[in-house]
Amino acid sequence: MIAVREVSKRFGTSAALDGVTLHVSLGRSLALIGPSGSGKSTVLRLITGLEWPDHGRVEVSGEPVTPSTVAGIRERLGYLIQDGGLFPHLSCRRNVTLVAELRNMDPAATAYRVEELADLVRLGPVLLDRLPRELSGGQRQRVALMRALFRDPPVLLLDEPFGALDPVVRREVGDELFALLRRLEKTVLLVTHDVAEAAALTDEIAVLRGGAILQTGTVHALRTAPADPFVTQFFAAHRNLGAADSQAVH
Amino acid sequence: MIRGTVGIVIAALALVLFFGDARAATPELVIGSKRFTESLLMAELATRAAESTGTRVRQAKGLGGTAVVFAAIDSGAVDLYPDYLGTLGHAVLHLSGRPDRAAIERALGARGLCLTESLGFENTYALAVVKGRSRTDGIVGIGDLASRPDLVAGISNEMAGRPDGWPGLAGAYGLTLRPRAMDHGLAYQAIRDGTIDVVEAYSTDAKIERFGLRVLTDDRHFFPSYDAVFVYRCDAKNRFPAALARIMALAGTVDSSRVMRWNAQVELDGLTPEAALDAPADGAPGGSRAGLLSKLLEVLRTQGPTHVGLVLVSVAASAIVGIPLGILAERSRRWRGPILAAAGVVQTIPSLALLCLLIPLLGIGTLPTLVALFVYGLLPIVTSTHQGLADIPPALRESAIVLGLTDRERLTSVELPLAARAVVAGLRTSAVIAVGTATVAAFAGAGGFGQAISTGLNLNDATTILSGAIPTALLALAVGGAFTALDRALERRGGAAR
Repeated sequence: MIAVREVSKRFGTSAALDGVTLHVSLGRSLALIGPSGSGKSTVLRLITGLEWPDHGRVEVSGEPVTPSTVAGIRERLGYLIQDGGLFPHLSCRRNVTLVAELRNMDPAATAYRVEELADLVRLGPVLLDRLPRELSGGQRQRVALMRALFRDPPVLLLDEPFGALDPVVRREVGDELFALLRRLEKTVLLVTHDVAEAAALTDEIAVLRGGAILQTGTVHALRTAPADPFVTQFFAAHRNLGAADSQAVH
Repeated sequence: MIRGTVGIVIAALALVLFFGDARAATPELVIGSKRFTESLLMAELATRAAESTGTRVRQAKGLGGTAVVFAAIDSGAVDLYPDYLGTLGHAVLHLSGRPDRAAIERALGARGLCLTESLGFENTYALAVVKGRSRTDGIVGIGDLASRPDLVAGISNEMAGRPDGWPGLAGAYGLTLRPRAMDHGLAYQAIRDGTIDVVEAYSTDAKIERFGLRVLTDDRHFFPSYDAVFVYRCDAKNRFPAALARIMALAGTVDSSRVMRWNAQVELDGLTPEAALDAPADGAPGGSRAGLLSKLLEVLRTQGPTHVGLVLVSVAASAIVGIPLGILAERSRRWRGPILAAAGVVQTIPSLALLCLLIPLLGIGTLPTLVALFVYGLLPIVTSTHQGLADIPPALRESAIVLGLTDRERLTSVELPLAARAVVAGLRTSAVIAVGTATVAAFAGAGGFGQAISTGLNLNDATTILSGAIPTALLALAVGGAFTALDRALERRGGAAR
C-alpha cells in the first residue's frame, strides 16, 4: 500500500535519508522509530509530497508520488500531526468540513458524515462548535482525527500524534485510536520516538538512525535478534515498559 | 517684504494649478496673493477697485509664496498681485547690487510684466528687540549687535538662506551672533518667552506695537526699499482697461498706519481681510475673536468630511494595493526584497517633499494628496501582511496542503484569516499615519484640518492652530480605537496566529 524504494534526500549538505526502503501492506501498521533527526518525519513528508526525493521513489497503492499525481494521492491520505494542526480560526466542525465546503459537497451528507465521525472518535457534538483552543489536547486530537478520516482515506500517516498529550491521556487516546484504525482496516504509518508506543500500537517497527534503516520487524524480532547494537540500546532504554507492551501486542 | 518661504519646486505647482482655469475662463481678472495677511489685504483692495468698474474678478488667494505667485503671473495664470520692490529685485529677478525701480521695471518688462506706482507704504525688513528687556537694553541700531555674540536672533528660513538676508547683513555689520531659523509666527512667541533676543520683523507688522518691540535702525541702509506695488501683466491693461486704471489709482493712497491697523485687525483681532477693510478706521475692534470651541466646531463642520474622506480613500487604496503586495512578498522569494525595500524607501521621503514632487505631475488639490497618503499607507500594510503570513506555523500551512486545499483556497480560507490580526494592525498604523499626514493636504489646496493649522501659523493664532490640531488628534484616537475594537473582535473569533 505504501512503498518507499531506495529513497535518498539531502537538505543542503546533510543527508536526511540515505537509501531508505519501507513497505506497509494493506491494512497493516508500521512504526518508524528513532532518535530525533533520524529522518522519520522526512519519510512522511515525502509520502505527502511536502518534499520530493533526490533519488528513489515513493508509491501509494502502486502509484508513484509525483507533482502531477500528488493531488490525487493526497485524497487517499489522512495526515495527523502533533497537536492536530487544526486551524485556530475555525470551529472544530468547520475544521472537519472545510474541504467538503470548498468542494461544494452536499451539506446534508457532510453533516451526516460529521455525526458519524464524532460518534466514531467518541466526541460530544457540542464540542464541535467550539474553537480548537477551547478543547483539551486529547479532544483536539480527536477532532484532528475526524478531519483526517473525513474522506475515508485508506492510508493514515501519523506524525508524533500524541506528542503533545500528557502520558495518561496519551495512552488512552493511542489505544483507542489504533483499535479504531484496525477496525476500519486502515493502512497506518506511525512516526514516533517512543518505543513503547510503537510496540504497543503497531504490527511492525522500523528503526531509523542517521537517515538509514537499521532493522525492520516485529517488536519480538527486534528484541530477540537485534541487527545492530543501536537497536539493542534503543530497546534497552525502554526495557521497563517491555511487559506492558507485550500484553498490548498480543 | 520677503516673507513666505517656498522652494522653486513649488513654483511649478502654481503653473499647474492655474493653467486649465486661466485658459478656459470667460474674461475675468485674476488677482493673486501670497500666503500672509498683508498680501491678502492688498489683493482684496485691488479686487474691490476692479469690481467697482464692473469687471469680473477671481482671486487666487494665498499662493504658497513669492516663487509660486511669480511663476503664476509669469505663465499668465494670474494677471496681477501685490509685491514689494526689494523682493522683486532680489528674490524674484535676482538683480545684483542695489537695483532701483527702473532696473526692476526693465527686467519685468522683458517678461511682459508691468509695475504700478508705490501704493504709499513700504514694508521693509527689520530687526527688533523687546522694549525694556535688560539683556537688550542698550541696543538701538543693528550695529550695536556686533559686540553681542551672546544674543540669539530668530529669523525666517528664507532670510537665513538668502545672500541679501542674514549672511549679507552679518557681513555688512560684522555680526557674530548666531541666528536661529524658525517659522516667523513662532518667532514672535519665542521673543515674548525670552527664548530669543532679536527677531526678524517687518515695518508694517502689527505685532511690533502690540508686543512692545523696538525696531533697530539700519544705519548702513543694508535693506533695500520694500515699497509695496502691484505687479501686473502688461497686456491686462488692454484687456481690462477700466479695472487697471482704478487699481493704478490706488497708488499713493495706502499709508503705513492704515496697513498696520488692518494687519492688526486680522492677526490680532481675528477679522477676515475683507472685514478689516470694512472696519471703521478708528473704532474698537470690529469683530471679536471667535472662541476656540466655536472655531473648533466650524473646522469640524467644514473640514471634517474632507479630512475623513482623504483618510478613508487613501487607506482603502493602500489596502487594495498593499495587501496583495504583502502576499506577493511572502510567497515570492524573488519579489520579497524589492517590495519590502521599495515600501520602506518611500516612507523616508518627507511628506511635504513628496507632495512637491507629485504636484507637477498630478496638479494641485485632492489627487496629489491622496497619492501621497496612499504611498505612506503602503509600508505598514505591506510589512504587516507579509509578517502576518510569514508567522503562520509551518505545521498549519502543511496541514492545509496535505488536506488537499489549492493554493488559492489555502490563501483565502486559512492563511489570510490567520494573518487577519496582523493585517488589521497594519491598517491601523496606516490609518493613524494618514490622519496626521493628511494635514499637509492644506499645502496642496486639498483642505482638511491642516487648513486651520496652516492658517493659524500664517496668522500667528494659537486658537486657529488648535482648532485644526485638536480634531486631528481626536480623529487619530478614534481611528486607532476603531481598529483596536476590530482586532478584539478578531481575537474573540479566534483568528490569533500569534
